[in-house]
Amino acid sequence: MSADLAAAYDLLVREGELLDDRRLQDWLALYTDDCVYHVPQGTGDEIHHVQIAYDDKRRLSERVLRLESGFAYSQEPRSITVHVIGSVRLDGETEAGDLVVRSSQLIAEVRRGIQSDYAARVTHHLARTPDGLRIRRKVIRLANADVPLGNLTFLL
Amino acid sequence: MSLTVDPGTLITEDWRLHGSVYTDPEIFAAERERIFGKCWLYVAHESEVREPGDYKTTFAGTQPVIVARGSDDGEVRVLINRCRHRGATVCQDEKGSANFFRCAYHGWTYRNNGDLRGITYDDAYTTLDRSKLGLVRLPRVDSYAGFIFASFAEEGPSLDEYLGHAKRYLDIIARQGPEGIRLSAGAHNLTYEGNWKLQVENTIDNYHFGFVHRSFMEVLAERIGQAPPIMKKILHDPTWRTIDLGNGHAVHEFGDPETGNNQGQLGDLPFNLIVFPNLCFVGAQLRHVLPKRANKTVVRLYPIMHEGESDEQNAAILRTHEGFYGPAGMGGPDDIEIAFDRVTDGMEATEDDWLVLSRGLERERRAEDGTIVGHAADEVPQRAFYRGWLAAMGAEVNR
Amino acid sequence: MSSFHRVEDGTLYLASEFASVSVAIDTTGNGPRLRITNQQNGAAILLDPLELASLTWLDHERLGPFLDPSQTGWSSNQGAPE
Repeated sequence: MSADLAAAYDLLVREGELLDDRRLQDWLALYTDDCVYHVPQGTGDEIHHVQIAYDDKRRLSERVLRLESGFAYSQEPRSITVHVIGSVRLDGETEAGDLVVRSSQLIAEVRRGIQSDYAARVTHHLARTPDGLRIRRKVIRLANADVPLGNLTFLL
Repeated sequence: MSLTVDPGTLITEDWRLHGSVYTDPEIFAAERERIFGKCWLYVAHESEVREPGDYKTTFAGTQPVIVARGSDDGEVRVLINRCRHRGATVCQDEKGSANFFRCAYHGWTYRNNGDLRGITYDDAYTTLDRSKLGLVRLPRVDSYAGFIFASFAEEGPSLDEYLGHAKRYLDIIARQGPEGIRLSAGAHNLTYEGNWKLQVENTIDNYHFGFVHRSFMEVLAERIGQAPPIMKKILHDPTWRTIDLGNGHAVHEFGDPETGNNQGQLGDLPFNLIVFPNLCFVGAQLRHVLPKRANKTVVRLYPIMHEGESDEQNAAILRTHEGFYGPAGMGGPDDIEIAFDRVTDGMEATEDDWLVLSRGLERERRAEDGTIVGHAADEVPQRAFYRGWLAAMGAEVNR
Repeated sequence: MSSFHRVEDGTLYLASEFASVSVAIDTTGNGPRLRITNQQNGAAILLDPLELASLTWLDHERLGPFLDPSQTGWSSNQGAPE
């Protein structure tokens, strides 16, 4: 495994663990200030079509604020999640020099006595910063993005 | 189809509602027949089937339908999405362009006005009357302000009569953009294990806002530096009011219905509106509530785009909408959790199966046009909905 | 959604949930014609400009007989288009 791939894989695994451990502030710190967190639906672009989420850093911070407020009832109780991350590979670089990382993820989620499984093809753009790799873009293309969905208020 | 229980006994004169309206499969079956089988049902906006040949698939009540604009006459028809041969759904896509439909099972081919055009290897039929085997059409289709409705009932009030006092609000919605509106941005797709009426009732309930959406209020406070006085306005602003519009429709105004809701988010409509039985307008969206079973509902949220606005402006409306609504929204899912899931859980208890819908009953007032006006935090809209429900279910409406 | 369209090397591809075709200019004859190919079974037709112009007189009702499967691809006389 190349050094880049090892570092990328390590970041993806760490991101999943932070989410599963609900360490949301630490998770947010993995994202650059100009980041995009995108959960698509349909086939249209985000300018013309509604998405499940198309967040900038501010919106992501608001999500974290809300989840930590104690009053986010759709996350009281909180979802228990397990991120299973596999098929991680590098796919070149963006024009800005960010690493493009593809992975397949299965996020098992348990809440109110029900387990749901969310499988996704995930793409990360990882920026090389003085503090190491940081996430400039994360696109989570759920296998069930276009099926009637339940509660997706936990972070993917 | 007869019911074991008289629907009129399910709502008392002092507005206690029996929990079985949310849980009883027999009542759900009766609603399919008496409400969804008779009322004018929203199916599409004109912008979704703009061109001859355009079609959309959706549901009229629980029945799958195709809304198709005729290729030669440009007329919109609503067809049952079921092949007359052996019953398969004919159109699978949510939308498309097709002047003819061909069933994948045996190739039976229909014009997009429903007429049966031809049958494969048809020498096997000698006496079949094809003229009677077109896709079943809903007998009445009409539109108002760009909103297309259809009814399974051959006779009854016209769409105009049915909409009544709701028309004024539909007019305002249709004027939101400089050149009108369109539904072109897709739709959020949600489901919950609970009754469809819970969603409709919750759409025009403002009493819950400060409780259920407290975490969103904290987000807003962080965003703009202080908590917006939403609950204060709900409780005290006399221009924020609820109105029973008759026929089961209701509105919650946030000030002037033309310009109100300046405390709302970008793109938000000036009011929340329900059009009986299952069409709602809230935030910047058209909300289509699809009943599946007594305890299962699908909800589609269609953001309303402004014709004549820039792509950037419309994209900003989408981003604002996504912040509150949709499966990952910071507001809507709290409604699902508390107002649908926890209520459905609570309905497992049937010891004293009566709910209280009398908030503000003594301080309603009847306006000159026959509508009933109440305070913003009162349950005028819920009573409006259930008056429509009682009438459609065949009970007397003497409350 | 099954509908799609694209242009590749001068050929147009368009599909709905009911059919998929390609449309291209054919220059194998003395003059140009339009070749329409059914992507699902390979069947094709070459239409000259006069034929194409005539199509513009049609409304969809008059196209009906071509869409009647018992008159075209699925008549018991012909058998199934393979």
